[in-house]
Amino acid sequence: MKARPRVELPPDVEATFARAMRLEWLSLVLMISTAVLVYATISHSQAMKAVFVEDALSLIPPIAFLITGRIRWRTPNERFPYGYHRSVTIGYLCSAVALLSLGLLILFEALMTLVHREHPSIGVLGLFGHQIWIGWLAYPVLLYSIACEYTMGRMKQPLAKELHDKTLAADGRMNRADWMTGVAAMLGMTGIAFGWWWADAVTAALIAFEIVRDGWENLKEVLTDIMDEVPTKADEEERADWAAKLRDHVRGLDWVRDADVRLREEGNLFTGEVYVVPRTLDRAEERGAELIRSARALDWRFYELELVLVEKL
Amino acid sequence: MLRRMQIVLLVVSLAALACDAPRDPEETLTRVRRGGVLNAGASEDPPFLVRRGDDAVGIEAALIKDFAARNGAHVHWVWGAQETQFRALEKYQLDLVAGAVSAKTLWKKRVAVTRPYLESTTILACRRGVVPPTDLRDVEVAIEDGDPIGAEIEKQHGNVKRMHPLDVNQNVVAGNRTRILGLGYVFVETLQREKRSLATAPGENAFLQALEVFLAQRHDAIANAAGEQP
Repeated sequence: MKARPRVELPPDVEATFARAMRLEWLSLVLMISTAVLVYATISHSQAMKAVFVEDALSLIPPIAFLITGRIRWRTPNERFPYGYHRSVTIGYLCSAVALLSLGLLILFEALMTLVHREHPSIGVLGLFGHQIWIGWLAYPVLLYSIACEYTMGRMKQPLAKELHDKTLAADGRMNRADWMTGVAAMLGMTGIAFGWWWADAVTAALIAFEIVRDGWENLKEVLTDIMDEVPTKADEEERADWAAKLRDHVRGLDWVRDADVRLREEGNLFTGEVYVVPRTLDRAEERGAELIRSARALDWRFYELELVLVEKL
Repeated sequence: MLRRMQIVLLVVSLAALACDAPRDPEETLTRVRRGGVLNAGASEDPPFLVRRGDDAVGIEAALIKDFAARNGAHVHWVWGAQETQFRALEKYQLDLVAGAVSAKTLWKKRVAVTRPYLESTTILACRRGVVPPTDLRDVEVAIEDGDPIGAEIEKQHGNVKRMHPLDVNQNVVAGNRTRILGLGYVFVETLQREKRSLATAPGENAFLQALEVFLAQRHDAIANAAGEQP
């Protein structure tokens, strides 16, 4: 069986990818530290529990990225002739499902707390010989969490755009949701301190709603990817006119009478068919190879485009 | 300049609000301090909590009385079934439930449970002058009727002798350390540990904080009184 060739990345993209890998390692360490700290201050607060679940869940995208980062560029072989690039989609699917299901769980619990009018009990913790109400300890912990999430989210966004990496983009969006969650939890904790027992569960419900929304958006996105949707932007600011760009380029070649393309996404890359109605079949192999090469020069994301010569479109 | 003034004002007013925080949604602490009564659900657990008429004596009883006194209140003891007391506590009909409340009580999710104020141990002991057994196999061990430690002794193939009350004339006994040593037996080994707590109404965080801070201050004194390791 003829396997696809190995993916050749331009050096600058390669460097960006290495930077993203390092950033995700850092992110993983920071998220573990925030999750541990938040866990220590959960007590009986629903909002803090929601924050903990969200922090713990936000470990999944970096892990998915780091694992698929090692797999995705492997050379295609007899067993996997199309290569390993779809592993990115699998990683993305895992995080989306985890987000959605745990969000629903927290939402349900928070609503039940409200229905049953359960009051959150928060006790005291001994720290360096002082007895401190755990509610107060939640503030510095949440501030630390917010600072980590905010910085990570801001740093991942441009890399996700450059690499056209949806796992990384989803990760960045999750970081953004996480720091907003932290702010909400601080408000909830303030509510408890003032004796408004419902503030905690209301905040938890809002956070859970945000997690569910995030999970739903990601799940929709990954399912459409699996359905071979036309390439879409990984980040809001990214332009999504690759198909038109490629088609116009091919139409501009002198031996091409008419042309069109059919594209889909495979992880960071775009692949598919280029349909050409040729003016002449003279030196067809040579011209075809040149066309594919020039497409790759147009954008590094074009990988293994198939040239199909047709009578009419 | 005006903006800075506004920020200072905001911080000061928040700090002022935070001074008496956390607060109780149902105002337990305020009510105890103003009304001078702390309603405590109690069930007997000698020697920690023992009924004397309507009053209570023992280490745990003294602790609760001290806490009430510090808040200008006296304790109104409500004796009865603990399950009922927990249900009353959940609905704010009692301020506190005492009497062998474990830090891991299954009521933990429905009411507030303090951090353990004492780790009490269940021990194996023998009468003065009796050679302590090295192995419990086929040894007769006397316990108070209904003490869950019977299971552990059976697991070690000992013969459990259940009696009520546990008297001072047994060769080998097992039970709560404070109680067993109080009967004059000699310590052999520790069999089990249990963290003791008190339960308070759910979400009454000012009351919970006041009680937990008080228990932390008394931590070593309680351990000494119970003859346990602090």
